[in-house]
Amino acid sequence: MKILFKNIIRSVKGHPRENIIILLNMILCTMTVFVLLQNYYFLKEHFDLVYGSDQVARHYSIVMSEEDNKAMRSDLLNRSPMYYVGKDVEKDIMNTPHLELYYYTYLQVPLSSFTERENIEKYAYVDEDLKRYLERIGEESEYSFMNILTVSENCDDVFKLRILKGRFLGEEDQNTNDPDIPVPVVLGNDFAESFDIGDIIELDGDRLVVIGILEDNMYMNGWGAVEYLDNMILTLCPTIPRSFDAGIEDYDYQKLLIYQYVYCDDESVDVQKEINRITAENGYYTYEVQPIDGIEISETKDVSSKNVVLVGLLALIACIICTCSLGSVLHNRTIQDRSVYCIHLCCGTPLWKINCSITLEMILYLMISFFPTLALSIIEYGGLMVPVWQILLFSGVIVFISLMPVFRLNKDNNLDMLIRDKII
Amino acid sequence: MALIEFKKLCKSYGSGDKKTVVCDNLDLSVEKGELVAIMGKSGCGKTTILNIIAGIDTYDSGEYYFDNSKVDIRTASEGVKFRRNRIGIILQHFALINDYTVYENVEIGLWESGVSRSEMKKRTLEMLDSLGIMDLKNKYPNQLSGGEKQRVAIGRAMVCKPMVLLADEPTGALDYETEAEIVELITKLNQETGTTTVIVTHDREVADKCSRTILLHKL
Repeated sequence: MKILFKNIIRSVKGHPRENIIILLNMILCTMTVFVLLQNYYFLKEHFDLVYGSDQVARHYSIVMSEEDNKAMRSDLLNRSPMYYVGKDVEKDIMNTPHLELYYYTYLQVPLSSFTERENIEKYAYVDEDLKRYLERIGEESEYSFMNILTVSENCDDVFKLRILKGRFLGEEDQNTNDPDIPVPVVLGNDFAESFDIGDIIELDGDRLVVIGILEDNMYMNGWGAVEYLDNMILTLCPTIPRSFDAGIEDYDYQKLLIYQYVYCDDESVDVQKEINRITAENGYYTYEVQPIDGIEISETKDVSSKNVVLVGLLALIACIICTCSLGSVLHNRTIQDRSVYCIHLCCGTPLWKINCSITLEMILYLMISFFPTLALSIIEYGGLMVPVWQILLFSGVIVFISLMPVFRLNKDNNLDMLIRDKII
Repeated sequence: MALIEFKKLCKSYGSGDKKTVVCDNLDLSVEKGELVAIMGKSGCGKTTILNIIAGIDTYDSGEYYFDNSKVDIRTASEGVKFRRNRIGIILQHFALINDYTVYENVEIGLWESGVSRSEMKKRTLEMLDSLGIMDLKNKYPNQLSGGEKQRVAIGRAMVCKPMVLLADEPTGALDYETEAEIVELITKLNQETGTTTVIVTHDREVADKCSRTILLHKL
């Protein structure tokens, strides 16, 4: 073991200039690897969130032709028999194993409605488009708005929403016609400190009752976007306040499958085939189901293949540069040390111990080179976002490749070179 | 009783037209405790014989016995194992490690000998003392004279108490006065420790101090 220790110390002290270059190379290499891995993980996390198969790959949007759409709107307005067939189709889909119909849409409510709760203002946001529209039509322009989502009662199952307090919306909350009964709502986590279960929120003469509060970071995936629910109010009611009934027809229309979504929890089920079967059995319009998933949107099954190729290419270039530079400096340093290694061979030290000491020295530098990356990550992100072993493995492979010429050179070390004065 | 014995040993370098025969059916015997000088013109194979004895180089045919055991080394690692605790080598240019102190340069000879740390220290200090360089133990090679460097090199070669000391032109880089001191030292060590010593030299005066001289002719 003495040879390992002594040779490392000798080497560290004996080649200060080369060792600094080696260390800088490794720091650069580790940082490059870190940045590349970091970006990859960010990409992957975003992809999983927005397009990942666990999230949206099982969600489908229901689409129909423009002509059918018009006909169905007419059925709805006239309450023709086809309207009721549509209702049956909806029920049949809901009764089909593995299929769930769900629905969600935005309502935007003027903040003036919430003035009784001063602290609610911090959750409000300003929709500039809507403000401009209100100005154009002569309405007040100082409104801010709250986001309210009208959802179906199965959205908690479909999007795996977790409840912090109370419960999610259910069938018992469907009947919202009686103006004396407050509208049941579920609040996002941002409201958790301001409201509790049973609290009443006054809204333009209408009243909302809090029946549940979501855990934080809950979201629902739509068409390539994530709807974060922390600052949202969820309800089954189609209009808030209920006195505002301009959209009621649209709502009913939407309830007839258009703008609805199908969730299928079994990947082996052919959703289009099932929908075709149901519509055919009922003699209803034809629906097309379009998967709302990353595969459909980004034409890839994982993180965008272009990004991965780019990240991979950058990693490869960075690694080649680092490997060449590191390998070159190491090789030159080893040439300078050949006589020392020959002396060790002369004294009976096996070659593997010499190689081992060089490798251990490089591992030491690798560990040191990791600290700037660690510091950078802690300063920027408050912790290491990428698994340590991945960075070290990546850098380790580069170091190992750089060591190959050194091992090759050392293999040629022969005491005869020393004896015949070919080195000194 | 022969410690080193060559029987009809052949060694050549290259092949075809470029083949150079260095040894052709060489018979050589060195007894235990003997102090032998090998002399000859350049290219006659002196260093090659030294290399074969040390297990650094291989031979083409014939037989090589070391302490009555046949030696047939084919790989570098076999050579390293064979040399360990058997053979000490000193060279014309001393081959010291400049980053190590005199003490460490001598101690290297024991790093692979399997002795304990305390024994290592004891033997190193004894060796430095016997070579008269105890006061230099904390100095570095570039602070030493040629003669001192060669003493350190002898110390490194002898500290593991080898069976054979091989010296390749040990006085080649020294002045006349220092040369005499080093030869005297090698002779003294040979007598005191009984270590078989083989010296390759061009110098007649060095050879005269040895008990026997083997003269090689170029083929």
